[in-house]
Amino acid sequence: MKYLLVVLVLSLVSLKVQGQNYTVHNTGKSYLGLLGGMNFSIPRITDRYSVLTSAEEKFEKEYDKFGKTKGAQFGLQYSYNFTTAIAVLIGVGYETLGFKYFTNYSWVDTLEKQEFAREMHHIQKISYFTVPIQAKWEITRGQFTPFVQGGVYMDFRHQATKIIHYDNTIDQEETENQLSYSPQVSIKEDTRKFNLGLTGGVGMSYHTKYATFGLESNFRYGFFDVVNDETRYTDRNGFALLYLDVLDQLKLSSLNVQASVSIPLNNAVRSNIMRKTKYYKKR
Amino acid sequence: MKKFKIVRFSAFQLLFALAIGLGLTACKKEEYKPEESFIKVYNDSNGNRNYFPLSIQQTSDKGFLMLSAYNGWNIHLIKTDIAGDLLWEYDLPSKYVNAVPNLIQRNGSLYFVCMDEVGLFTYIMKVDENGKSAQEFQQFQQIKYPLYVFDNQNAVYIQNYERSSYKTGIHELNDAMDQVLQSGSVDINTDVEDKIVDHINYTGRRFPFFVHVTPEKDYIVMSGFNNYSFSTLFMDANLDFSGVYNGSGYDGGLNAILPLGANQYALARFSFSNLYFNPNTTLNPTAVDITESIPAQGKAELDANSPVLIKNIRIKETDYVAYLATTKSNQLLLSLYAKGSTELVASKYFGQSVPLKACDFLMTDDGGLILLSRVTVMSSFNRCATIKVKREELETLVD
Repeated sequence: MKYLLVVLVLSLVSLKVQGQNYTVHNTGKSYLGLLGGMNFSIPRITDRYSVLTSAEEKFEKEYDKFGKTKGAQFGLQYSYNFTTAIAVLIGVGYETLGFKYFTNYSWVDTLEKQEFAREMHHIQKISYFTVPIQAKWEITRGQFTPFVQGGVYMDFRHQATKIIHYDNTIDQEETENQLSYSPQVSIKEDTRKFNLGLTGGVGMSYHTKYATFGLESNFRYGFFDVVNDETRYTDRNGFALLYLDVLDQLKLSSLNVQASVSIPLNNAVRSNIMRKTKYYKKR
Repeated sequence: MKKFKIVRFSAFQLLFALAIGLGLTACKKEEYKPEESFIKVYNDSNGNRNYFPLSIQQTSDKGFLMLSAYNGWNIHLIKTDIAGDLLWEYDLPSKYVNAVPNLIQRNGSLYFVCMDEVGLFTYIMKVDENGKSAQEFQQFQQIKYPLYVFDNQNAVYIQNYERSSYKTGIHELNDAMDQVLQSGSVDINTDVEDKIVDHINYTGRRFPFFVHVTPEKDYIVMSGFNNYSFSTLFMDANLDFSGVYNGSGYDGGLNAILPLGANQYALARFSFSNLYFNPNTTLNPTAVDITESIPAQGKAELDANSPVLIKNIRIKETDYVAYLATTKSNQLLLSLYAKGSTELVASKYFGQSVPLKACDFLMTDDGGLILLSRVTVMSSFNRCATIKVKREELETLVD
């Protein structure tokens, strides 16, 4: 059923793309757009660190699977079309990424017959001002057209926070009737200020005379380490000994889905970028 | 229009240049060395184990060896790598008990002093890093109840309690640590075995025994039981009694001392639950006086019943006297004083809401400082912990 739905949607898109009444003529035109959406963070762990150390076991954190850490982003985007198909995009935005992991520890007192278990769910959020610079290729010239885009982005950290949810049952779930929370603390100094990465994605644009609407999905691949190694053990929040926690080193990627609306600048409305297809069959 | 285009492309170029510049800056960052700074808790999932760390030393591979007591007087060794991660640990057989501070380093090997469970006499144990254990190196049947060992790289001194004659003894060993060269003692005049038993079993008060030798090597200064009190004793080079600062019964005395030379000392003293520091005071090795008469500054926030460590440390080519103590709220407090003065140069707290107890500290080969502490994990389990402070952080402290 799911596949049937996908096939139907793709067929409709295909029909729409091929059988359009208007073509787009926006060479040399500029647009200013507003975009926003949600993202899913993908941490890539490069080095592991722990406070607890033992000869028998490695206390490695277990990271949440893809799709569990959601964030949001929004921003402004300027685009300039060199041709109808090729445009360059520069944006400035604000995004929230994150990563989650859980740790658990247990101690058993065989003499006094006492047990103690602690499961901790660690939630980190990092907000960045982001500046993507991309090239975009609109695959057809129609009013409704798919596109691919790619480029680089720079992230400038704004803030970062951490909170731990903990309970006394080791089951990889937050046990509601035992759940307690650490204070939410800033980990801004424990994260690095700048990141650089590659971004690329696909989407669909719908052009009108007055605005262009878009829906796109991008993958962002961060190059640099996210965690500040130098402050890992400064323990400014007291979490190292209280929750036996320090951050691993990792790089962050993300997959986002976002919608956009762009309005044409420099007389594009008057110059009418939408023209009847029958007069412009060939590109 | 042409002019507009030039401005636009310059903006792109600027952004790319910015990206490349920032990227290069990020790449240029110095390589991170995990061994420079760390916090480690040495876990034991056995909940009925209760550890009390005693001493730490750096090993030839730049790692660390820790000597601890567990569940009273049993003995435990932990060996870590340079980054503080545990490599191996070893429980000594039950006949070896009551390890005393400190680990001593001789000819590239580490040794410690402990006691026979039944005979109460003294063993010197040698740590076998390759065998991940410790072996008996020497035993001294005549030295009962060892309480402290001190090595000034010239001689090794062991302090003990003579249970049959109610004396505090001091014994100087030869360089090979296989013979007692000379011994001395002072009279306690009363039986303090109950206090000694509580001390070595961790069932009561841990008395701050210590032994030091003055830089001129003319006096041995030690704290121990003497004449119905816990006193600070001066013994001459022949281990004969020279002078004493008597404590207030067993509720006053010195916690720690560091001889600075020329009769100057950095010390910490206690009187009941109060703790006092004086990082530069004069003591007369031939005096008969009381410890309360030694001028010192009260430290209201510090716990008088926890260990106080005083050592020389060197930061940026300058010598400091460093005190490590435990606050009443169970944080560690490191205080740095200019050597030969009472001026507090810097202080730093470690720990926030988890109980810590100061146990030992030492400067590391890389110019950093490693603190050995007891930590109560999850409000329940006493474990050994190390906190490594990197050189740059120490330098920032004293700047």
